[in-house]
This record gives sequence, structure tokens and C-alpha cells, in this order.
Amino acid sequence: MAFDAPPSPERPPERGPSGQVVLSGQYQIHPGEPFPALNGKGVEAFRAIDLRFPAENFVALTCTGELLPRLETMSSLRGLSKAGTLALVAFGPVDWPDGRQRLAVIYTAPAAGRFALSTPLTPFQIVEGFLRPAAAALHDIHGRGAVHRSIRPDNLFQREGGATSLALGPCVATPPGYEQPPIYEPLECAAADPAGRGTGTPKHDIYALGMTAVAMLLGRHPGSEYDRDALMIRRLEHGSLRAVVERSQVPPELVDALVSMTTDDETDRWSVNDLQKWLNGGRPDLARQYELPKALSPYEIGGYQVRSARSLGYMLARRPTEAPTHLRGDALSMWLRDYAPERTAQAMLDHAMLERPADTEGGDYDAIQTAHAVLALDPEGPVRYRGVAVDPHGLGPLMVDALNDPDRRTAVTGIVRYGLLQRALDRRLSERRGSSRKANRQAINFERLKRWIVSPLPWEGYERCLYDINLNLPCLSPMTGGRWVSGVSDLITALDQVALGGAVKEPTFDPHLAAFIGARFDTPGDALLSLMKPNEADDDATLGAIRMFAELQQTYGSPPLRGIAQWCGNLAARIAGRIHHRPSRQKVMATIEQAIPSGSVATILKAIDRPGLRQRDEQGFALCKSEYTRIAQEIRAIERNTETRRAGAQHRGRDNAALIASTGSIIAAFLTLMLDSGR
Amino acid sequence: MKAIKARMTTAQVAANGRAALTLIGIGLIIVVAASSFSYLVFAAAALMPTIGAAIMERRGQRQMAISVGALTLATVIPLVIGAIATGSQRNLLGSSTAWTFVGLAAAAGFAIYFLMPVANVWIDDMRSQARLRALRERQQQLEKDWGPEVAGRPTAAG
Repeated sequence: MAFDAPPSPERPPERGPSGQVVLSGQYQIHPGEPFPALNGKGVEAFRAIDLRFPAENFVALTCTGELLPRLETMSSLRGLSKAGTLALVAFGPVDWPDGRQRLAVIYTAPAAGRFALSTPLTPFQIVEGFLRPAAAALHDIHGRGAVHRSIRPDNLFQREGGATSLALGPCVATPPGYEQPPIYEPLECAAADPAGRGTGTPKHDIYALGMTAVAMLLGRHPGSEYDRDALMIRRLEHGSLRAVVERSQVPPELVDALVSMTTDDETDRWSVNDLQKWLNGGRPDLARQYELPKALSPYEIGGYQVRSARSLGYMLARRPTEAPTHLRGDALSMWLRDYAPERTAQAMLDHAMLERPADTEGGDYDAIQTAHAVLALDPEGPVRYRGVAVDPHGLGPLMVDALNDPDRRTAVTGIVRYGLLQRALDRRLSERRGSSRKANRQAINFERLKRWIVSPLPWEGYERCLYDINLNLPCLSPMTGGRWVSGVSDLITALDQVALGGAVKEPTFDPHLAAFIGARFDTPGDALLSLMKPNEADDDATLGAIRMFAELQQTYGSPPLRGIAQWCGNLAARIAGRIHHRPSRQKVMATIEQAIPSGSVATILKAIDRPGLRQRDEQGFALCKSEYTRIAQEIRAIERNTETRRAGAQHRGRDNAALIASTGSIIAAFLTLMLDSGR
Repeated sequence: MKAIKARMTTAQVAANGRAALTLIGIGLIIVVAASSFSYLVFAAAALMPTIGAAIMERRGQRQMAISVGALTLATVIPLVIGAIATGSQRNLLGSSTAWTFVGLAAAAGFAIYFLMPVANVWIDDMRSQARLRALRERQQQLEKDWGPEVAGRPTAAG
């Protein structure tokens, strides 16, 4: 067996990031010592050691964030130690020397570099050196509910020095099937974009295992003599195995296994138990071998000749600008009617061409027609729209991959918006869709995604779909400060750090942050809006945002969050600033100010969210305002009516004079009597 | 019907009252004249300021006449009755004491009539000023408690 040159364990540090990085307090990663054999798109590998056992060699795969890694699979495979696979020992976010965080996955380091296809291997070598250990490893992997999805010749390694068997390489740092050349993917997802191939099933691994064995047999990648489209057409028309190898090239001792492992009919394909049975001398059921019907006369499209409806569908998708012309023309429908081996293809195509979503935008009409036509001609294949191809179960990673490419993002939006995924599922064989309950759940999810992706609300849209469908996707907002934030508890810690930094005085969330919180934590839309546009939010929305932070803090153990408390204090101060009654306002402000250093958002919420406060304040203000107005009117009346008032006073004075004189006359009479008689 | 009957009754009562007073006055004049004609002259002369006040006043108003007349009568009647009681021997027309009492009474009447309105206006002014002060203080307190918005002015920026 041949391998690429292994890295020297004593390589001196290279230029690049320096400093030590530690995972879980145990595994030390050396950013200055790359491990090129395990590099890939979105993945950088470095040497690592276990601080407890420094003599053992490990390799750390660090995810740079371009692609969505498979966190659930990491959890499933952690601790699995089998000869047929490199062992995944730990994973988690680490602080990288560039100040950001990366997700690191620690594997046992292989003794050699990648397995290299050079000379053909013997059947014995293939069976004993590859199939047997790989089957044992897959048995455990599948038993843990995971699927490998990265089985191919250049992802095989020598686990220990001098080992005669190969071990499956890592499979968790990239989306399932991402790095697989199409020949190592079953027909139903081979045409999909690398990020959109879907999680797949254990039978996907068996297929890849079988095709890898074919590669070892040939000493080269199967079908390498054909270009991509030619190979795919051959697979669709002849079957995957027949497309790349003649029956005579397959040794008799391997033919049953290779045919049964690589058959395009998944129901007929072996499981890992069947393979192990065969490896142990048993006789599992073999896959049926049959010649696929082909048209006597080919149809020419895009420089290729096709002889089946499926290959026609494939080429229509590969030539999106030409496809509408073919679909509108008579030649295609005549060929389908007269020559296509699939008798119902014409009728299904005609039916598909009549359907059109009600909300189709003018510029999308041709693309939708083409997508419908492709699904009608190749219902088992992926959804294909505007040059993007995706398996319905692969939408999540594809959305991540397309995030920063405007054209692909628009295409993905159209796929969701026009219900193409549900349409594809509806047209597949029912046994592939599983139970009806699962089907209903899928239907509900796609409908919800459809509603969000066209929503104009800033906390919905593409980002909301992204986080809803990718449960382990970390928050991609720059406000996380480069931290790997995969859950809400990490998020509030990250936001707290950002807030403590002081650069951001108020929470001004971007769509990623709002969508992440909306997806992970049931939050009302107006609360999210108040965090995105605090200046435009009303008091109820702002209060909702503070309440959300208080609930988040409480949900995750109530750690003090001084930074977020400062934010919430600023938000609460906005609300308090609208309290009319000044003494109440000052009291509330003082309570808020006292609560901020404690880092308790609940205390701030309690200070501002007092039952009846706002209502009483509004009522009191209304009363006092009308009182003020009434007082002003009374003042004006008094000032204006001075002369009238004085005239009235004078008149009353004269009346009083008569009264006083009349009363005084009694005294006068008495005095007169007294004084006159005393004279 | 009852209201109309009541109004008619009130008018009748007023008319009857005036008639009664007139009869009483005539009766008194006869009694005084019977005792001494000079006393009647004294009384008439003493009431001249009252008659002058009545003439000076506007039609329908009687306050000056009442003010002066009440106090004048309050001195004249005791003097005349006192003189009659002592056998009508006293010469009231020539009595400086009597004229002093009458004069002081009339003067007091006029003084009360002219000073009361001034006092009333002054008191009323004081009350109005106090009321204005209280109202303005209340407004200031409202603005202090509720901000300039309570007066319809915008809140100061910053």
C-alpha cells in the first residue's frame, strides 16, 4: 500500500500562529505545527498532544467556520476506538491565537499520510486490509446512530506504524459527503452540490465502501477517464458499477460483494451486517443484477447524448440556460414519447410543466419550469434550481455554504420559496420517506421555512431558516466577538464580554443574532426588533427584550452578567425616561443604577416592570395636565376680569355700607340715649 | 300656578310693607307734631342730608340714603322721643348737642358709604392676589413633579 509522506513529528515550528491552545484542559494543540495530510476546505489540521501522556500523538482538526461541521456525529463517535477508524477523542471550541475561537476535533494521529491510489491491490489486500476493518468500524459507527459519509481512497490512513490494514479517516469537520468525489456518492445524491448531499443513511457508506474497493482494484479513481457529465450519464444509464468497470475486470471472489455494495437500488444494497456476513463466509442475499433499459435513439443536449429520462433530467439541470428552449420545443417531448425507456416520463413532464407556484416572480418562471421538469424526469435525484442542486435533507449545510455567495443564496431562497423540496419528497418512493408522521413533520418544517424565507421582518428571512434547520450552527454574527457560540448560554456569555468591552453601548443586533435567538429561544418578534432597532422600539417591545435577557440569565443558572446588565440598564433607562412623574422616574432610575453592578437583569426588570406603573403614571399625568390647563384658564380669567371684579366689589361695598350703617344705627341710638341722658 | 301665586303674594307683601311703613311714618309725624312743631322741624332738618343723599343717588339705588338715613334716624328718634318724654320742654333746634349727634351720625353714614367700597375693593384685590399666588405655586409644583410636558411644552433635550 502506498501513502503520502507522513509529517515529521519533530518538525520545528513554522511561521504562522504561535502560542499554545488547550482543549478541555487536556489536549494541547500546536498552531505552529501543521498536519497537512488532514487539511481540507474549511479545515486546518495541527499536531496535538495529550498533556497527561505527551508521548502519544494526536492531530487536531480545526474548523475555520466556512463550513458547518457535524457536531452530532462528533458526539456519537467520541471515544469509538476501532482498528478500522481513526479515533475521535475530544472536541470543543478553543481560543485561537488570532483572538477568535475555533471548533477543534482531536483524533489519534495516523502513522502515515493519506492512502494513495497507485498500483492496484489484490483482492486479499482489499478484503483483509480494508473491507474487514472498515466493516467492523462501520458496524459500531452505525450502531451509534451515525453515518460516516467520507469513505474514499484518500481518506484512509495507517493507524499505527507497520499496520497492514487501513483505517477510515475523519468525517466530522465538514458536511456529510462534502469532500466526496461524485463517484463515491450514490446516484440519488451524486448530482447534488457537495454541501447539499444530506446526512444519508448507512447504505450510503456501504456504497462508498464498495466503490473505494473498486478504486483499489483499479489503482485509480473509478471513472476518472470520463468527465463529470459523461460519467454521470453513464451511471444513470448503465448503473454505477457498470459505468466504471467491466464485469471482466472484477475478480470473481469480489464480484458479489462489489455488485451488492454498489447497486443503485438502495433497498437492494447490502447493509453492514450483510457485508460482515459475507466477510465471515456467509451468503447474504445478493443484489439483483439487471440491464437498465435505454432508448434506441439518443437525445442530444449540451454536447452529450442521453438515452433515458433520468439522464435527460440530469443534463437539463446542468444546462440551465439551454433547458427552457428544449422544454418548449417539440423535439424533447417527441423523444420522450417515442424513445424514452420510462413510459410515464412524457406524461409526468407534461403535468409538471403545467404547474406553477402562485407567487412566481416573472424572472423565475423558466427556472421553476426547468426544476419541475428535472424532478419529473428524475424524481429520485436532488432538487436542481438555477445551478444549485440539493437533496431535501441536505438543505441545512447548503444554506451555510451559500450564505456569502449572493447568486447561490438567491437560488437557495428560490428552492425554499417555491416549495421544490417538498415537491421532491412527494415524488420519491414512499419507503424512502419513512413513516407518514415523519413526512408530516417534514412538510410542516418546509412550510415554516418557506414562510420565513420570504418574510420582510428583519429577524426572519434567510438567517432564521439557517439557524432553525441547523441546530448546531454557531451564531455567525460579528457581535459574538469571534467566539464559537453554539447555544444560547454561550451567546449570552459572548454578548456579555462584548458589552463589557464598552465599544457597543446598546444592543444593536444584526439579523444573524436576532435569528439565532429567535431560533434557539422562543422570543417574541417585537422584542427582537427592539434589540435590532432600539431607537424605533416602543416600551412594550423594549421591556420584552429585557425580559428575554432576564429569562436567558435565569435559564442558564443566573450567572452575573454585568455587561448585559449595563445594556439592559440603558434600555430600561429609555423606558424610565418616559415616566412622566419625576420623583417616580428618579426612583426607578436610581434602582436601575443600583442593579447594574450586580449583573442581575431580573433586578433591572423588576425595577422597570412594575404592575400598573405605566397606567398610573399616564392617568396621573392626564389628570395633572388637565389641572394645569384649568389653573391657567383660571389665572387668565382673574387677570382679565380685574375691572369687572372691582366694579362688583364696589357695588357690594355700597350694599355692605347700607347694612353696616343699619346695624350701626342700633349702636348709634344706644349711644345717643346714653350720652344725651347723661348730659 | 303656585309660583305665580307666590310672586303675586311677594309683590303684595312688599306693597303692604311700604303701605305699613308709610302709615307708621305718618303716625309718627302726627305724634311729633302734636307734641311740638319744633321737634318736627328739627327732625326734618336733621333728615336733610338723607334727603340730599337720596336725591344724589341714581334711580333705583338707596345705599347712600340708607347709610346716612339709618344712622341719622338712630340719633334723631332718641333725641325727639327723649325730648317728648321730658315734657317737650327741650329746644332741640337750638341744642348744639343734638345737632352734634345728628351731624356725627350723618357724617358717619356718608363715611361708611364712601369707605366701604374702597375697603371692599382692597380686600377683594388682596384675595385675588393670594389666589393667583396659590395658583401659580400649584403650577410650579405640577411642572416640578411632571415636567414641562404637563404645561404642553416639550421636554428639554439632553
